[in-house]
Amino acid sequence: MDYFSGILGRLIDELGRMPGIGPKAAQRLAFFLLRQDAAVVQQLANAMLEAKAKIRPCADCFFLAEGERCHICSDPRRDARLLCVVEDPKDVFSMERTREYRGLYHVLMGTLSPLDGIGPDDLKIAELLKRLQAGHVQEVIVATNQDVEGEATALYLNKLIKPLGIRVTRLASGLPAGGDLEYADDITISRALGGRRELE
Amino acid sequence: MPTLRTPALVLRAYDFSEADRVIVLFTQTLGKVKGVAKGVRRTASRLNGCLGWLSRAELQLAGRENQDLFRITQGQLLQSYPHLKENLPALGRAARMAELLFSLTHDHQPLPEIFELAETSLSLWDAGTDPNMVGTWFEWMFLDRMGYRPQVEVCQQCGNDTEHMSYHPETDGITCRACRPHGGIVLSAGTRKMLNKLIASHPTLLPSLRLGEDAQTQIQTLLDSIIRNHLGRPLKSDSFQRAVCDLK
Ligand SMILES: [Zn+2]
Ligand SMILES: [Zn+2]
Repeated sequence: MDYFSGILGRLIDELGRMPGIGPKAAQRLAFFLLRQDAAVVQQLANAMLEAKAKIRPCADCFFLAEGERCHICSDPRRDARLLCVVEDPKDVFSMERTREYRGLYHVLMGTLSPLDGIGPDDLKIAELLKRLQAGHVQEVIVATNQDVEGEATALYLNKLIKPLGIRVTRLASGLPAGGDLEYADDITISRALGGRRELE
Repeated sequence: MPTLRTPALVLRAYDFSEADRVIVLFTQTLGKVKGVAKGVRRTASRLNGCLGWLSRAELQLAGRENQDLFRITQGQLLQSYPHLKENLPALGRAARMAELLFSLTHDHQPLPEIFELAETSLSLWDAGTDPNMVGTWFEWMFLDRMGYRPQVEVCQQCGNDTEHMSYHPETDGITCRACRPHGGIVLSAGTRKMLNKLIASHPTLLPSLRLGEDAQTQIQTLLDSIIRNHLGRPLKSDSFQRAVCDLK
């Protein structure tokens, strides 16, 4: 793979670090960029730098925000009595795509993952409990993945939240491929949301 | 390409590419091996149901026996241990087990006896047996079968058996107070009796054994110390296990 060295080689290396981009795809992207006008490439570079500089985790829910709070937390039409807990900011997009959920979110920034050394203190769980103690939320919908780690996270959250007198529910099962929200289609997610059940 | 079938436990899984997952398996015939499951992230593949963390499945692996990465071509779920997975303290202990198998055994090192220990432990947890009792039993037996279990009968310096003995990680043995009055992990006579009982007991007797609080603490400290010695670090699953160990 060292046909490309120097500046072009470096560009291909950088592009090749992105998820889903193998060496071949990285080369195609590099040649594509070289064929474009300088202005087009500048726009792309600016967009990347600006996103990196200005997008921060939302102060309330840890979803992506351009200011202090994300557009969902700042939207007065959202139902503040409902809180959907997800693993990853990507999962918020999956839920939003269905256009069915009108509540707020809380992104854990991961899932309990014992063999990676990720315990409760490494997730945004303390922040979640603090939000719940403010008292507006009546139902927490736990939408972590439906694998063993996601289920364990749901069980753990239930143990912590139940004593606060808040209903804790779980998306109905039936998501494909290890229950990863990212790969579920809108209809499946809507159905899982509609069929959510209360955790014991 | 040659294939083989073997019962296997799923120790952990990584996302490999957009569609594939790499699964670390503890197999009955080959010990720990890695296998790639193609396409399971995208589609409702039948393999998915077999490859959940801490499941036991009969898997078909394609590749030569000494292959680095097998291809998992077929599978049949034997047991998913659903009750274990709803019991957080048991899951905390099972996570420790998975990490021990993952990090203290070598690839392609057949350990059929340890496979059986692991299988038995998962069944006991699933049946609701005291998670700590089963976990303690597994870890002590595992260290024994790996050749890492220190003798806890007599002082390694004078050969006496007295009421109060301490374990010293640096010499991997116990001493009496006369030989070494300070330091080490205290192991009372009762605790040492329990450790010997664990080695001698058939697993069906585990539900009838009781670990007192002192013995539990002493044994846990001992196990953690021996494991840290061989691993060079504490278990990563510690933080999870500690967080869930008291949850009912
Ligand atoms: Zn927000
Ligand atoms: Zn002595």
